Amino acid sequence: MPRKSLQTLSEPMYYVLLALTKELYGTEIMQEVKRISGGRIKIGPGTLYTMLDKFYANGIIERTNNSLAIKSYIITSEGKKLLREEYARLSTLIIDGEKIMEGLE
Amino acid sequence: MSVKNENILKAPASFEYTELRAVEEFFEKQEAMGWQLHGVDRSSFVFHKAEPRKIRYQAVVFNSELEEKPSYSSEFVQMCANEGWEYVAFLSGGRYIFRSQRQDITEIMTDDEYKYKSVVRKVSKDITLALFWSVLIVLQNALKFTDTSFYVAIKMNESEPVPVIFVLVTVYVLLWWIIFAFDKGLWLIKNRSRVKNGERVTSYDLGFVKKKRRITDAVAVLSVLALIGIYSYVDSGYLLHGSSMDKIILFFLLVMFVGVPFIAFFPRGAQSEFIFFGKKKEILKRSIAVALSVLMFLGVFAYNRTRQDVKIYEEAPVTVDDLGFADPETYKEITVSATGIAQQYRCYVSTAQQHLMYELFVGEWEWLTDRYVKKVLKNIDESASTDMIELNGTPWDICYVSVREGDNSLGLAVKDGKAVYVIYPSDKGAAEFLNIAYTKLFPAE
Repeated sequence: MPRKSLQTLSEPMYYVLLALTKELYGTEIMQEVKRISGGRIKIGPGTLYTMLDKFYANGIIERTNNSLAIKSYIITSEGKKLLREEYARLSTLIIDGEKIMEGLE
Repeated sequence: MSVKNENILKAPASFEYTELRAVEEFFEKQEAMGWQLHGVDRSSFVFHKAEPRKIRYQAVVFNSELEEKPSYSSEFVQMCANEGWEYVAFLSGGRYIFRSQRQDITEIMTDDEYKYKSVVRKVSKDITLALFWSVLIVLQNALKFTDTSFYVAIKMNESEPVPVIFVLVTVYVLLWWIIFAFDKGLWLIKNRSRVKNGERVTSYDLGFVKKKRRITDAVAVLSVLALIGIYSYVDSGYLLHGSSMDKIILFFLLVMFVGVPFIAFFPRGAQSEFIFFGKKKEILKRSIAVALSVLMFLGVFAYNRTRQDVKIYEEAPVTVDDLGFADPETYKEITVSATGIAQQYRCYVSTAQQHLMYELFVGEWEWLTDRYVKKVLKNIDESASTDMIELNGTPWDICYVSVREGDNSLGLAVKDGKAVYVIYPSDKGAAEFLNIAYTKLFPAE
């Protein structure tokens, strides 16, 4: 079960999970996050590695080649569930916001 | 400390988790001056002479959640390398040093919450340890020193001297740990609040750390001074009880003994922000300092030896009967208090109705009495001691020190301005005094 601290994802966490819907290794994850966010989100290697560590420890992602020095990662079904929940939460924020924003001059 | 040649510089690889920015600034300044960080050799940062350049350094703390103990992570290093961070060194506790020539490179730790969390456990551990030592010292003193009147109240007078140096050591150590814990605690509180407010985590900069280290050095020097005082002949004994000349000479020797090597080993030149610098003139300077401090030590030793007027006999110059120890009730109890390495002895010279209190390192009691016996003799007022003489029916005055060696206690007997060491069974007391075990006579005939 994901820990309570992972119930709401930070922006970099959200993008890392989006990136990990396909199998990637460390540097590729950083590049993919940059690409998906249009260069808006930059994640340092220390932050990324700490994040991966945390996700891995909580079963959100898994390692796909444990034997190699440079490991690649991919999201697990638990992680997908978490990502969907976060997506739904963010969508709700947008829908709620739209109701107000439409009437705003 | 090893100095290879003029192209190599070494500095202690020592920094706190709260000083990451300071160490980065230090390396960046060294690079700008043409000293490139080469790595860590044992406990030193090693710099090699190179062309001055503008380099960005990052000191980060990284520990995998999956491993119990901090260890070097090649995967993490590779990830940083792929992003343009050149790995330079790894230190215990998961501390990594990286550098890059690119000034616009993405920081290794971009998330301040993670940055804070990476060190919070370690800083908290430091605080816990500091508080533990502080409490231990307080408890030890509270439990051991029930007679706190002379440990707390420092009365600077001849008849009731106190172990000033011992008190100072305790105070320094205690203060040191409390300040250490306070400093770290303040950092934690400040940065926890910054993380909550979405602000950047800060660490102490080089200017602040340099100021802090100067204070640290001062405390260290004072502590060393105090410790030397406890372990050597140069302690508060002479400084408190000696003549004015004794005080002046010993104070001077003491300052030189500690000060000379300190000045030599801890120069603070423009090129050496943290500590020392390896050049031939530095080696010469240190050699002179070592020679001087050895001379100082020998000077202190010789000085003390000349001050002791002791003759050693192969056989005791007096007999048991001569001493005539009588009713031990007429003599005050000898108090022994102890903490850690130091012991406190209160030696009563009953006939003079005076008492002297001594401090010494365990096992060196003979040296203690050697040194103080003249003072004891000097303070005995024969005319004022008639009661005691009559009561005992002996012309001997007794000053005994409660030091046990197996089943026996050692003491000092005084007669006609002279004294000898004596030994008696501990379980029976001085009344059952058996033999003269030690054969020194004070002063020497």
